[in-house]
Amino acid sequence: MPEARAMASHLHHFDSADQQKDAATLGMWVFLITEILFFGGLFMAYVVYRSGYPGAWVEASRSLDLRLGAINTAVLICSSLTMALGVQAAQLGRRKALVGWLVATILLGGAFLGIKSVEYAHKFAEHHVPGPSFVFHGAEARPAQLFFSLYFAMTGMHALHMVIGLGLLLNLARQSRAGRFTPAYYTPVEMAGLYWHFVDIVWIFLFPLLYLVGRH
Amino acid sequence: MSGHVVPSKVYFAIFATLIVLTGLTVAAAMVDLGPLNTVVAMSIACAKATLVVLYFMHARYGSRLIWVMLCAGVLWLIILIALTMGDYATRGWMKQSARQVGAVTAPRLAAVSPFPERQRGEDRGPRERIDVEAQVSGRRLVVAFHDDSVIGPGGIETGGVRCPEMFGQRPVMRHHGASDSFTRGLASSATRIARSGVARTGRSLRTAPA
Repeated sequence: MPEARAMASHLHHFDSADQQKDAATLGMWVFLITEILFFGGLFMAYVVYRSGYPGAWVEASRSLDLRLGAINTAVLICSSLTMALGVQAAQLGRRKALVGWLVATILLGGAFLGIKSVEYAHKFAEHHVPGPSFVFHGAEARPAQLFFSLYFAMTGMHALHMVIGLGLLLNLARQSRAGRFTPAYYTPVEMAGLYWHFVDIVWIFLFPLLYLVGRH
Repeated sequence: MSGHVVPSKVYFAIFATLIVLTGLTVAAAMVDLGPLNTVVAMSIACAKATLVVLYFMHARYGSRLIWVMLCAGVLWLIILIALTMGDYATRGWMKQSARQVGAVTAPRLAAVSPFPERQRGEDRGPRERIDVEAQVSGRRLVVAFHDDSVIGPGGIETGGVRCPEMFGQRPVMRHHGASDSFTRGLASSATRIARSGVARTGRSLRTAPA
């Protein structure tokens, strides 16, 4: 019986379930590496313009809501914890716990996006969105627009990743409830976990770079 | 078959550390450490990212191949940033950046000459061109104004560079004595012009070795 299960647990072009899982994990990491370099381009632009206009960076960064940014950082770290505990529950075959942790992760991810949308709404109200109606009261309004362009590009791209992640997690929660995952096969949960943690790491860098410039 | 199972208490310990580090990075940002602020913020962010990668993402228990991938990604990110910044830092693309604009010292009136446009027989507009000179980071900075330029303690409006505090303020710069407000205005403007990146060599801003 265990043999039959092992046979069914991997596709025919893999030698074993372990090999199949290694291949999936490697593939996921390769994808995440491309993601590092994708965000890397944005970080690169940030470095160039921040070194070009340090004064504008300080002025513009101070206009962001530090409290909301810090809360969101904590929310995202919490969601990484619940995700990690979800993967652990999957490893141990605790179906109910898995569903619970996935739902918790989804709620925390939703909370992050909710707080982010409040921040965006503030930015729109203050006319800090780059474009024809951009207004910034400071000595360096023109380069400050560059900061806000990068702010929206970086946090927007990050939020898009969160939305995609939430979609994945919703699907996984549904499948988990139906009992699709076992200690022998929970690769999708683990892969989604890797993706979710990666998105967390991007925010770990975005937070100090966007919110903590020249706060003293 | 079911990979390495990390105990819950490890996850909670990592979580607590991440939260503490978040608090720490906010606290560190409130203290003026000069350029070290950025270094501290990035070090803490790297530490946090490392914890997430090692424990939450299980890289610590992963295969060597995963490590190769991870290092390749980080290496290419470093190449991306290091080579690009190498260009920006050494080719003078950010010559007028504030980083290179230190204190503006010893501003003085360099020359007063007829404003070129005036010689074409126009009735209105500036009559005199006024060159003022200062030391900026050990380089001689010459800024050309005209006698319609508005000057005061906050700065000078000229050459398409706006100095908001000075906007609309008079008196017009007619007396060329190096008064206090003139000196402060020049220092402020020179810094601002240099920072704005609007001014280009040969137009309203020229720099030459001192």
